[in-house]
Amino acid sequence: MALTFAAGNKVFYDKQVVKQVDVPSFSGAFGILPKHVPTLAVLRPGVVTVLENDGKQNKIFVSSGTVTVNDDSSVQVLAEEAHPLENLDRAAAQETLSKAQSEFNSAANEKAKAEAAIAVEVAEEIVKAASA
Amino acid sequence: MVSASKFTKAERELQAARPFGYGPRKFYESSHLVKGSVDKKPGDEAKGAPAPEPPKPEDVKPEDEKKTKRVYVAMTSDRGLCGGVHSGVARRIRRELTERKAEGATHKLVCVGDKSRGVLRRTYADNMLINVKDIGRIAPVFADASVIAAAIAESGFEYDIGEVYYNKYFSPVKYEMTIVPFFNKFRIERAPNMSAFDDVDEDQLESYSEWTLAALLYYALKQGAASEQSARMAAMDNATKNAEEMIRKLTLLFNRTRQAVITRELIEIISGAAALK
Repeated sequence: MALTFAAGNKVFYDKQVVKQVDVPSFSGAFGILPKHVPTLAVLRPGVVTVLENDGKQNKIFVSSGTVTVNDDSSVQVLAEEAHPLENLDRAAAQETLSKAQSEFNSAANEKAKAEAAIAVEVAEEIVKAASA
Repeated sequence: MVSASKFTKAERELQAARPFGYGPRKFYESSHLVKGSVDKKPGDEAKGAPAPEPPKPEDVKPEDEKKTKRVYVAMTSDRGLCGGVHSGVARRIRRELTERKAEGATHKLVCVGDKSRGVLRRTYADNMLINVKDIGRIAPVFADASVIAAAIAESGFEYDIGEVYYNKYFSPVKYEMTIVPFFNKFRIERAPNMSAFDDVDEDQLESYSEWTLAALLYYALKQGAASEQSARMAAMDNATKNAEEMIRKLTLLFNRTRQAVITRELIEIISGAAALK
């Protein structure tokens, strides 16, 4: 199964053949194996796990994006921002989380509130991923 | 030199953005929203094979054409001095609009960058939907594309088909005007091969189509930036060459004049001294 996994900052996989991909989506986290039924999904913040052909596991944190499984069993994961798990700094994430929470509490209108809620969600997931 | 380093940066960043164009197009292909394969090797085109047909949605019949609401995204920037990069995009859109006898209500324009707006606003003032300014000063990031996508989503115009007109970058001396389509969620839902896909929730599909638009815009922004910088590099190189010739001529003139002045002063001094004897 050919995986294309890219983010605004970096290309992680370019049509590389892998064994399995686990993605977090808004309809629940799911694993993609070869010959998965074609589907679309929207990524939620969380960790994408790629199991490469040599058995190596690669964990990458994504903020948001889409995942597409096509009928030729190729998978495209496009993320806004993505970073390998080992690059995450827990202390910085904590700090961002508390800042996002205070922004959420002081948000004046609905839109600002929704934006802050997203920031909180992302920060929470980063903290969770970094401390795992 | 300056534009050369900017170009290197733009080209490097384009590498990271390529999958953003590939992903959505691959999906369009597998859901049969557009014809043709995206997995062509770049070499095929280089061999002078016929240029790929601009992807046309399969399920549009001529009689629908009048009713189809279209949105055209012109991917340019605010800055000039880079050859025909921007006017190529604007001209192509103008041609399409004239051919389709575009009316203001159903054919809308989104001008990214001042250059396309400058060309199109006089003839197609009724069609203007959104103008995006401040593009091209610094390298585009994903947030820029998100802002444009959000503006299109919030404009309240319900398009059926959208087309992004951008310059696709091939090499430092070659770029090509290219069109990439995008669709709203209803189109995706009704795509001919959508039945092969797993059921997707309505709101998920909406987020998916919006996010895909942002991804495509990001891809087009990056492609446009790289083409623009490559064209600017050539334009600046030519400007330097032209200036070199001018500088040579002017230096010669300057030296001749300087020598003439020195000679005259010497003559004056000598003739003055001779008169005193």
